[in-house]
Parts: sequence; C-alpha cells; structure tokens
Amino acid sequence: MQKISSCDFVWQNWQVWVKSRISTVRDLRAILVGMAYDLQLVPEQRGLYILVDSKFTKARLESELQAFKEIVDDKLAEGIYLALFERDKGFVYFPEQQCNIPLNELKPLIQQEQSSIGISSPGATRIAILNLLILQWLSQGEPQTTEGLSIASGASYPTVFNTIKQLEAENLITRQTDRRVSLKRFPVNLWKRWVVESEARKSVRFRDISGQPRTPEDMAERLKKLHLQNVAIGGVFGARYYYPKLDITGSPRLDLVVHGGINSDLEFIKKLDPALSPIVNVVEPANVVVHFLSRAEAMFIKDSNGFVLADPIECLANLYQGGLDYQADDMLSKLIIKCEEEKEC
Amino acid sequence: MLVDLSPEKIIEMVSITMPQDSKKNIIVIGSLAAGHYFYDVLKNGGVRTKDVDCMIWPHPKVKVLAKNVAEQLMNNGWELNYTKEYPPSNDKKTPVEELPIIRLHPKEDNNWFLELLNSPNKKLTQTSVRSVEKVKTKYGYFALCGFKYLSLVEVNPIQTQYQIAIARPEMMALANLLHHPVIGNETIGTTNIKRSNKDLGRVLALAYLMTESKKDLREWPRLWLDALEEKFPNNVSELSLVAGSGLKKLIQQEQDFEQAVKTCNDGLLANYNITSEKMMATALRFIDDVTNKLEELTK
Repeated sequence: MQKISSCDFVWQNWQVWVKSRISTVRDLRAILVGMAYDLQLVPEQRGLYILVDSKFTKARLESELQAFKEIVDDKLAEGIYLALFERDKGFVYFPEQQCNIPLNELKPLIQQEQSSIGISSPGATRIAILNLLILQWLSQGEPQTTEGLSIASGASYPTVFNTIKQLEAENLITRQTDRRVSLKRFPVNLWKRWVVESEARKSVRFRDISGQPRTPEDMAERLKKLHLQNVAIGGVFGARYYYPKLDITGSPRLDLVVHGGINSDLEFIKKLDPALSPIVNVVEPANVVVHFLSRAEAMFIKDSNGFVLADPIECLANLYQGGLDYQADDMLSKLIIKCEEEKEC
Repeated sequence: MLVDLSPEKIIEMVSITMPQDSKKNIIVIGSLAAGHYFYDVLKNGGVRTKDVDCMIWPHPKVKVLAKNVAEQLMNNGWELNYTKEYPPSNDKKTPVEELPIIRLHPKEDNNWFLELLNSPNKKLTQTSVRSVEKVKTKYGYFALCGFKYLSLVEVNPIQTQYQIAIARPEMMALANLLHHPVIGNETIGTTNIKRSNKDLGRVLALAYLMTESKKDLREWPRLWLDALEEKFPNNVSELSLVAGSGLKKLIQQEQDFEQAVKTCNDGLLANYNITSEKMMATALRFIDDVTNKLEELTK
C-alpha cells in the first residue's frame, strides 16, 4: 500500500480516505462531493471513505450514499463507497461484495487516525500553538505564518487565527509587515495556566508491580534500543539536556512523550518493562508516565547518546505535572534569561 | 521440616569433615550455593532447606571420590539418612534402583543432610537425563545419581574460603530450565509438589535475588551460550531454543505457577514473601531479558 497526495492511501485501483469524528450530514455530504471530484479525474479508480467512530448509523449512511448517487453520473456513482468503523465493534458497515482490500491493510490506517484524536480539542490546539511560538522564541527562530502554525500544530486555520488574536490581546505578539508572528516574551503565567487547563496534559501512568522497579535510566536505555521514532523522553531526563544544572538528584520517574492522541498504541511499554501496570489512582506514585503530544509536528530531537528527547517546553510541562515546581520554575527562569541575553547580544 | 541454615556454617562444617584431597572435587549446588552467593541480600542470611547437595566431579574419578567422602564422613560420626523403602544394603546383588542414596547428617543434628551427586559422564550428557551408579563403601552399597544438565555447574564454579566450590546461579538456573522443557507430572517425595514447578520456581527465585543484588541478568545469555558450547557443543542451537519453554508453559498454568511461587516462599525467598503478581513480573522480565535473548544469540 502506498500513500498518494489526494487520498490517504491507495491499494490497486482503490483510493482510500480515513477520517474520524464525522458526525454531521453537512460534513458527510462534503466528503461525498470531494470524493466525486477526485474520482472524476481518475475514472478507472474507485473510492472508499472510512468513517471512524462516527455517530452515523449504518442505515443513515446508506440512505445518504444512495441519495448522493442518484444525483451524480451513474459511472461515477458506481465507484463511490463508504464504510463505518467503530472502536469496539470494528467494521459495522463495509462494502464487502465490491471492495477486495484486505482488512489488515486498512487497520493501520484506522489506528493511525484513532491515535490522532485529540488534535481538535480546543485546549490541546491552543497550547500546541502557544508551545510552537514559545519554541520559536527560545530558539530565536524566524517569525511564523498562521498557515505554518496550522500545519505544525495540526489545528485548523481559524483556530490558529483565534489563538493569535487572543495572544495579541494580551500584548504578547509581534507582527511583521508580512503578517508573520512571533512572541514578544515568554508568557510564563499564561503558559502555566493554559498547560493546567489543557486537555493535552492527559496522561497514562504506570507503576512497577515486581517490587524491584527498574531505574528511569535503565528504562530510557531500553527505550533507545526499541528505536521508536514517535516516543521521546521528557520530564527530568529530558529537561537535563536543556538545563544540565537542574536541581534534582536522580529522576523520580520516567516521563515519556508519545506523538499522537490519548488512544495511541502503548504496546511498547511491555517491551520497556513487562512489570509495568497501568494505574488510575493519581495519588499513587508512578514509575512511568506517558504524555501525549497531538500536534502535527513532534519536534523531537536526538541527543549525542542517541536518546530521543521531547522539546524543552514539553519537558517543563512534565516537571510541573510531576509536582517539581521548584525545579521547573528554576529551569524556566534560566531558559528565559539565557534567551534574553542572547537576544541582546 | 525445613530449617533456616547458615550457608557459611554448613559449608565450613562440610569442609572441615571432608577428606582434604576431595575438597577440590566438590561443588555445592542448590539452595545452599544460592544462599552463599546471595548472602548479602537474604534478609536473615539463612536459607530454608534441609538438603545440602554436593556434586562430585570430574566424572572419571567419581566413584572413588564418592566412596572416600562417604567413608570419611561416616568415620567422623556422620549418620546415614535413609527411608524404609531404601534400607542400607551390604549385598552386592541388590539392584542399584533399590539402594539408598548417599545422604548423611552430622551426629546429633538431623535437621539437614548432605547428599552426594554424580557428575554426568559423556554418555549421560548425550543420552538420558538421569543416571544411577552403584558405589561400594565399607558401610555398604549406595546409589549415586547424576543428571544430564548438571554438567553445566562445572563451568567456572566459585571458590569459597572453605576450599569447597559453589555453583554459579546462572548455571544452576540453566540446568533447571533444560531439565524441564515441559511441566512434568513427577512429584517430590510424598508431596503433591511437581518437581518441575519447584525447579522452575528456583530459576525465578535466583532471578529475583540477582535483581535484588543489583546484578544484571542480561549477562546470562552470553554466559549460557559459552557454557553450552563447552558442555554440549553439538546441541547448542537446539538447547538454546528450548531453554525458555518450560518457564513459558509455567506462567500459563495458574495452578503450577502458584505452586512454584509457594516453593520459592517456602525456600530461598522465605523472608521475602513474594506475591504471585511480583513473581509473574519477574518471570516476564526473565523471559524477555534472558531466555528470549539466548534464542536471539543463536539465531
């Protein structure tokens, strides 16, 4: 299966799209029209649109599809198919008679789509956009366009536009003549507030059940050997890379940052340590905490020892979430001072 | 009854009583060897056991050595531990299967006994998993048992200050794993405890104590591979692939696993009181880090 530009994937003469959370008739009709446009350009191709975790019933979907087919060219109509996939039930509607794409070819696409859920939550996108602006400010990078922020965060253009407006109202934004934007300063209080409020800070916690917990350093080494590109180390371990003077001896736990939504595949945890078991009690100390980074661009880096690390803002957020406020405040102030000094130079 | 034995005291006592020139031919195996190796992390320093297994090696001299050791111990007042099913015999025609094993305890201390075992010979390492040989002493005839994979404990045994060596935990573990590629039905004595559950549980106990000692289990696969190449050069791949089989079966069979946990808590881990959940985590880690890695090394 290979990816092409107009759809999510192509298999033989099938073009496949996968989208989650489609729940309005307006969106569904837009999808059908979009498919018709695309398929008109490639008459030999057929199109399958998989709706993941949609609120549509099978009957309603069939009825809408039938109504649409009646108003388009017969030949074009023959090539348009819909499918419904639900997290707990699998495919509840699939054109089995006409579509011969093996289901195991489609599952990875669906899982990928499911794992990205969370991008559209308002709190998550707002903090994602602000974090991108902060990272640009810390690295003294170029001002960014609204479109660029939209691509990097995975947020819609209007969401980025509104977030920038909000930041402008707080007198935090410098706008170039070409409309590109950057932060005037690090908005410490606003950032902390948004981090706390953000749904993006949802995490999954694991504790050791062996009675012989592995050290965070040991687990970090094991993670490195798994060669995962979508999992980075955050928290104390990651923060030390950006601020080696971090005032803490040893890491109390391993914070990991998964590029994806809260439904991301966490099977790798078993490989990290089969003695880790998920916990729901937030008071109980955790040995590993997995955070989710749902913006489009992960912005992970690899250090000289080969560890994949989350960005400094993500590491800071992990510290605050872990109750290491003193260390996080210290790191934050030093990063700001360092950046401001460099700007003055 | 199981009692808490001090590995140091027992090894010292055995050493004092042994013929001087036989000491270098003794390797203490089993829980007492583990007790000596893990002395620092065993919470009261003791090991709950009743048998002190001593393997006599190398094989070519084993019957003479066993005779000398048994006679010297009995000359010093050690007494024979036997059951009515296997009474002492002075009749050379008594079938070896009916003879008592050489199990001796110090005079006035029958809380534990020393058992002599045979180093596996070439034939045994190539064929069956167990052998029995007849040993003649001035106190009668005895049976000397040997187990195929016990030859592995001859690899780099650890010398103690008492001139008697102890087996390495990793070699005892490998011998146990290879001896039980499946969960067998053989039970121990008059109990309902399966031999395989006890021996595979012992492997997990050793793994637990290794971690407790801050020693890295990930060194074992390489050491195992070297040992297999030395002792079973023609079967390295086959044995490497089967080493984890019994353990993988054990963790899938709840009753057997529970029995393995119980034998650990009744023995080597008596002072740790390991829960099944903890032991399962130990087993999963062990399979990941050790037996699966051994397979990978040979592929």
